[in-house]
Amino acid sequence: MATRAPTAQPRARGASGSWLGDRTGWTVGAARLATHRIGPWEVERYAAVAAAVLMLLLVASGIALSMHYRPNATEARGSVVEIASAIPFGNLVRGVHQWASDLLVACMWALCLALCLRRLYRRPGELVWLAALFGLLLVTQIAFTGAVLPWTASARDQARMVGGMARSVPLIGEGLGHFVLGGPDVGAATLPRAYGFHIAVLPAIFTLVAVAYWRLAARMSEGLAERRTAAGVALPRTIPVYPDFALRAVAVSVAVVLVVVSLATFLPRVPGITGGEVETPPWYLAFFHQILRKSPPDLLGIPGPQFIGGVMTAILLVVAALPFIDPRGSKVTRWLALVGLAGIAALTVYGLQ
Amino acid sequence: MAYSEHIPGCGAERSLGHLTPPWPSVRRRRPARLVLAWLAALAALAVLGWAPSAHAQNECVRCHASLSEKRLRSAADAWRQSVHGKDGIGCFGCHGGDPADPTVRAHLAENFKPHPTRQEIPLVCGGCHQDARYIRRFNASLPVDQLTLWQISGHGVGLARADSSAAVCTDCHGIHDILGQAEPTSPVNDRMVPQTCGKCHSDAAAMSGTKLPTDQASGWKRSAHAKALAAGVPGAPACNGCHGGHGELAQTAGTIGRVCRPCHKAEAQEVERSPHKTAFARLGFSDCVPCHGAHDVAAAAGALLVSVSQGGACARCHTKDEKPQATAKQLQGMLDDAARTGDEARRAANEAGARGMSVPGLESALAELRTAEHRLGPAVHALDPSLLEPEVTAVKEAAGVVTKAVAQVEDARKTERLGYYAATGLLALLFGLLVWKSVRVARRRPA
Amino acid sequence: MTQPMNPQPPLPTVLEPVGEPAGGTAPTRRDVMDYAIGVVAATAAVAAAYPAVRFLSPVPTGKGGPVTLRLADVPKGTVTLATAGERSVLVVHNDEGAVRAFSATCPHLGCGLRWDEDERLIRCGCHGGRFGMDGRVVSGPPPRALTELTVDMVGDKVVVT
Repeated sequence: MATRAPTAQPRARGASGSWLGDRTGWTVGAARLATHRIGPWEVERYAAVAAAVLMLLLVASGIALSMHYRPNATEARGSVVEIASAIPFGNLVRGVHQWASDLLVACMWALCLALCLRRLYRRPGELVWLAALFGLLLVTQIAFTGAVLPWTASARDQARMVGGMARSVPLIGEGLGHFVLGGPDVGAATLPRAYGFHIAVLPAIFTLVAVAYWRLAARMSEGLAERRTAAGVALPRTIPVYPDFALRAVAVSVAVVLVVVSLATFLPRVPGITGGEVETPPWYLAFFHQILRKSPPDLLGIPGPQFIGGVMTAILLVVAALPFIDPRGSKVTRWLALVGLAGIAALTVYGLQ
Repeated sequence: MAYSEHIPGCGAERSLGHLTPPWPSVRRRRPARLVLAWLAALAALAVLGWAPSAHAQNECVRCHASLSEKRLRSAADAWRQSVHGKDGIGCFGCHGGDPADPTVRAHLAENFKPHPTRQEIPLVCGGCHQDARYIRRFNASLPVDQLTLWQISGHGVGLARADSSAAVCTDCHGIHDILGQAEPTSPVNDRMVPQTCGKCHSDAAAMSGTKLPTDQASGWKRSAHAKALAAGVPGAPACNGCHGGHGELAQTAGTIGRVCRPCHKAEAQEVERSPHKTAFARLGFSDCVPCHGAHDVAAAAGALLVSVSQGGACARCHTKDEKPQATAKQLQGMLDDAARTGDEARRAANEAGARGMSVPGLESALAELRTAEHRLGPAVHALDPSLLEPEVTAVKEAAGVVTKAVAQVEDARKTERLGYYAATGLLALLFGLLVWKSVRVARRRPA
Repeated sequence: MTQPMNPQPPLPTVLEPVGEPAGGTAPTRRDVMDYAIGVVAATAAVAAAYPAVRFLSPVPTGKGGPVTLRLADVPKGTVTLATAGERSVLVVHNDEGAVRAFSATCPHLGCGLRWDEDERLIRCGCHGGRFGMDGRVVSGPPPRALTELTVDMVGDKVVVT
């Protein structure tokens, strides 16, 4: 720093073309973005923008909620009820947090699906694919740990079920269950743990993954453009990233905020308020619950949950390894993806009924 | 005690010897032979073709259960399911004989009583059931005064007067199949009592020798008590709730009020202040029955106060007096008013809840309202509008607290909605402008 | 930073900062639109701040009802700290037998006060403010005397409102 300061002085003006760029070394890169042209309706870009906006909404509303929420087993439920009933705009903030979380999970599904169907997992997009998939898993876990926080009986049951799944992992199950629940069973130690995962550990990892995704996706986009130039093919219609795509991204962001606020106002879902309600599992886990519910207690001599857990893990690994299994992007993959999605959708609908 | 003395099971030495295996001395002195004895016994049992059971040592049951004649077998079967069978109190306790003797000679024992007479039955049962020390071994909460109470009851007095149809223990409790009161199928279970009593008391032929009416059970079935019992209200009385379990007494005008009072305390207190108090005493009426009826006691809830034309209770006596009828009308109006206010408040609260609103302090406000409403019923018994007035006011105030809490949340919600429309209007405008600009930017550039 | 991949020259017209009119010339239709977008966005942001501030501001917890205690609990010549809900008051029973009450909040920076039996003074634990039994500042930084509260004697009860 000290050695650079004098040399930076003479080229302070005009080097980066902006006041902030001179002082921070960050370049706005508008020129670069203006020259980079992309397809007009590349779905994964809008999904990523929406996901980013939803994450910002979640962080903002989450910080606000954490000012009133008390993460201990005796006070948690009382504080949630207090937020919902006594604190001005409490229901709105809860609604925004809840709906943004649901939409974020949906967005990450859409992102992964778009990457899959548009065959962007192929070279040079392998890491983009992995980042998106990891992001989906993280978002699901963040949403899930959040659902435990009202600490109702059904929230505890959900936590207990996850602990049971962790315990059924071969070899490391016992230790993993202990790590997830903070003890041999759901207890007072589980709630602070879920809270820590929900507000710090998982969001921090997600942020890293998200930043990585943006860098990787930008590099992938440039790489693909390079390849197209080299091969002498051009996209039928393109728009510059700046200002066209930037404007659209801002418009999408505004629309996302509009949708979240409207849903929070008109469809306030306030789990964890009424007493002995039987809450259905969150919709993003309903398909998994439905498989568990309908599976026989014993498959090929392996206990049902363990068998299904194994199969799901195997499927996940295959999906993650997609760029390496199918480097050319065959049509079979598309069809499998669509069939798999239809299956998951059907199981979700079935599971929620 | 004369009878129970020759029933060994209830005599001074109640070792329950008949309940323990018949080889206690063998077990104590010669353990090696004990094994042999058991093996021999088991072999014998196997040969005889029956599996050893909890009652294996009761030779009476063993033999009677294997008899083909139903009359002789059913007693053993019923006993096994009964409270006595479950506690291992065998035939010997009531019938004497020798339960250790597996042969027919058991019947020849001096103390064997195949058929206790109706006069003997209360003494047979009472022999054990009035012995607190004995009963406590099985059920510490079972009372031991049944025999004494029964002896002073209409049934006991009747039997003493040589009316052999007067009910004894077995008429209500059953014989061999006696069940604990808590068992839902027991004839003395609260829900079964009206039927059990009605078996005789609703039967005109059975009651022909008495001056008793036969419509009590059917009246009770229409009563508020029957509804409450069916709804599972704790303490809701069947016949025994007012007449007593064993010391049944016909209730007379002077005693009825005392029977109602323990449960209806608050009402009884207000009755003391009512103009009926002195009038009823002078006329020799009961405190409660003239208005509420006896067995078919009516749910108060305003029905009693309705006017003459609607068959209200007041009209039974006050056929012409206009003032009492006007008072009844006024009281009814006040009660209706209070009920309406309370219902409106509750409806507002329910609607708010159905719309997903949570109203702070609603629970306690509704509880206050319920408490205030509970005071209305007793208060009306003073039959004085000026004494009812404060209670009606209390209900209205409590309802007001509920409505106000709901209204405050409604108002806050309206404000929030306004804010929402303003905010979404802004966001929609922003969205529109951005779309417009993006379209213009794309259009201005040559494709 | 990676090099731009596309060799096309940048288009200068789209590089102008949004919302800043071209110097000197009359505002064009585009400038007006940019201004409108800026104004609407700023208004929306300010509007969003309202629920945020309301949500985060402390929940008003009433003023608290009267504090009642028995006179026997305040021996002559002592000061007792009495609380009701979240409200704390100091009840003084002075040597002359008069009963007075003061807010138990230090007028300096709002810390809690307590009675020091050894010094026979009311003390603030935060910055060492000291007050006499009459509520006046004896030493320390407090700028003024304690706030006096109304005392009613109801039978043998002291009711501070």
